Amino acid sequence: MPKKYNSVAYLLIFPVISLILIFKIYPIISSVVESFFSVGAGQVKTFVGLRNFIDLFTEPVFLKSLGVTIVFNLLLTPIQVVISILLALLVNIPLKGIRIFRSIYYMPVGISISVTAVIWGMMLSPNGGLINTLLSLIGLPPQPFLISPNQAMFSILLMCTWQGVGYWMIFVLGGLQGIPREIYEAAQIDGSSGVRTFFRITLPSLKPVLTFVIVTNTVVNLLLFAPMYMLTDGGPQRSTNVLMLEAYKTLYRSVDPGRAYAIITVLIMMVAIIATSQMTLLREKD
Amino acid sequence: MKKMNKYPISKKVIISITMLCLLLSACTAGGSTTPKTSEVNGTPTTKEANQTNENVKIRILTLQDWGESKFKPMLDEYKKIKPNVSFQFETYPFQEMLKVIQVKMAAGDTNYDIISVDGPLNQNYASRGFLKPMDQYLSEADKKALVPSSLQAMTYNGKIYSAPMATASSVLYYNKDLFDKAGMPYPSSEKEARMTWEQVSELSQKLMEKLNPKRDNGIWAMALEQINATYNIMPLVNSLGGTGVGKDGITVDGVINSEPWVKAMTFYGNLFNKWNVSPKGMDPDQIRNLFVSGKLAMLVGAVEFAKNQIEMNNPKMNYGFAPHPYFKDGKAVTPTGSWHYGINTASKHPDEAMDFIHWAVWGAGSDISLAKVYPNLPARYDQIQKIIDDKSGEYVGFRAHYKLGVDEAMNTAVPRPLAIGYSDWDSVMMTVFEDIRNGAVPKQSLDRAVEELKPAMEKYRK
Repeated sequence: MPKKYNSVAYLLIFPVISLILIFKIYPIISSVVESFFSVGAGQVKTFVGLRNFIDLFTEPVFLKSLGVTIVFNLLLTPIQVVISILLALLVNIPLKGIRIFRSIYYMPVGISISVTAVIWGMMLSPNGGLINTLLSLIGLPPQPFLISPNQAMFSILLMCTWQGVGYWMIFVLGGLQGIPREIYEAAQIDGSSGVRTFFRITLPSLKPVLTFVIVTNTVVNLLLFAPMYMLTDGGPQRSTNVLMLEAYKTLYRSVDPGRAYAIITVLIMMVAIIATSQMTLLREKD
Repeated sequence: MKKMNKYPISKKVIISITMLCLLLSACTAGGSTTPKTSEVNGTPTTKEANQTNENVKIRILTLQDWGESKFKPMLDEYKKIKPNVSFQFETYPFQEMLKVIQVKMAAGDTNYDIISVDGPLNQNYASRGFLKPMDQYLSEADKKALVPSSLQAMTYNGKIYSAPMATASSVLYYNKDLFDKAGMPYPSSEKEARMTWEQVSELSQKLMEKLNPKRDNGIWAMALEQINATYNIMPLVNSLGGTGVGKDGITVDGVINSEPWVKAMTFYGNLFNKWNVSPKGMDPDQIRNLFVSGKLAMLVGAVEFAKNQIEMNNPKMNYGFAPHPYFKDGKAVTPTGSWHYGINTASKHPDEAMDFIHWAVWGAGSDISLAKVYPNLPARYDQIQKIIDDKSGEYVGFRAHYKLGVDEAMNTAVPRPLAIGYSDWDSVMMTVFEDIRNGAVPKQSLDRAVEELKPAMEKYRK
């Protein structure tokens, strides 16, 4: 780029950079700084060093939330990625009217998370919800779903998967359509089976797209908050009390900003470490 | 082309600046979470001053249900004596309003003069400097005019920080049609015949056997109006002699996991799990609708429930009322405590705000409030006496069961825990109540609550 255009380039990206600095970087720095303070009675702010973090890692509530967040992500991200790959493979088949199916699978993405939560809340209701009605029609006993400590997380997981896979499917589909047809033809001539072609050609070719999907999906799921807030409030017995929700409750209900910011800082570090590790691991295999 | 090369940067600079301006204006014009605001009493004033003879706008942060339309009868009347005062409301749903108060008051927001304060949160707000003390505006006679439970709730460290809109009590409502259908006799409305919780559970099981033996038609026998909230659950504990916090207002270990708590919570859990007479997975609004729609036989509800819910939504409903139940081995205890007015410490018009509050609580505004804004029990002795003396039972539009409510408020009412850390306490305990409702073992849940609450409450000891 000619030197005289550099200033224009910087000027053009200035608005975006400013917004990122104001709405992303500043809150992160502010959260980290605030996590070293405690606010007592009379709104007096005191520097407490690492006290908030030490307290966190000795508290059963935080440790339970940390565990719930990790388990939730360990389940949700792989499920969403695998299903989105399968769906993308399905809607990549050149059939007449396949675009209709693509739209149908993508449709849940267009519904806001709040509306989705309300709809699923009604469907999963133990008092005459749609799913229990269907279960009773086939002779199965009604299930507690969101009010059971054993089923609540899976119910939310189901809802998030239903809403999220269409979005990730579109990226994978884009990746699939970017793979040159000649490679598949060559594999076919060489007598490669469908499964072998998938693992030897399709999956490696999708690596850049999958890296994006896996990393972004993990970050999104780590920061997931609305379904738990709206459907279970972290219960029953804190089985869906993810870190984001715990931070929210700490700040707005218990009014303990120091603890809330410490939780957020832990979450930011988790996101940074996990995302960096994922990108490094996926890059190394290139 | 030549011209473009001559001024290549300046044009792009202009484009860039335009883009930046558009982006920034889009940001500032956003705000999907803007609260609902409304102006009352005509044109908004542009000039604001502390002098009472100049135009003043009092800004009120309150509940969604109490916006312009609700308060208007009071404000119209107040406008007649203070024509220079106008009002602006900012309203939120209950939980949202609590968060707004926590955030905006902590930031020293000057945009509000009056805020709605839930009684048990008075201490917390006062200790955090959100509320302006009212002592300088109140006489001894003003304080003596109020019932003790309200006076206790509005006081922190010997100072008054809020003023009660009303006080509250609860009764046991029952649906006569469902009782008739089940062939069961109606509960007595006489307090001498007050039912025990043990009798209520027995009656509930019989009702379920008659009305919904398979639990498949949506009819339920009994529920607390605030089914998973401290307000309706604490009287179970109080009835057995338990309290929410220790005498120091902070201690929870040995208090919320004590024998009365375990017994009360076992009873509460049994309603949903063992006897299966109360519905799981419903919030208080759904419970109210359940009763009003004729699918709930008994409801322990606030005295204003009849006026606010039944008469509004199902005026022909055939219902009766009975005294709030108690445990056989315990004493009669009823819930109480209601909403208060508080003045924002950072208010620009504290004198004018207090003038309105005084009129609304101790002046003529109180009757209008009780009749048209918040039909709860009065917190003033003289108004309580009017209910007792009122032969027609129509004082400010009140119904017969308000007499029972008054009696309960005077004799059996116990407020929710008055603790500086009430918001922490309530947050944890609501989770415990919900867990027990969903089948958790009471003792384990209460022990876990102690573990969680202890450090949260201890921070207030300093």
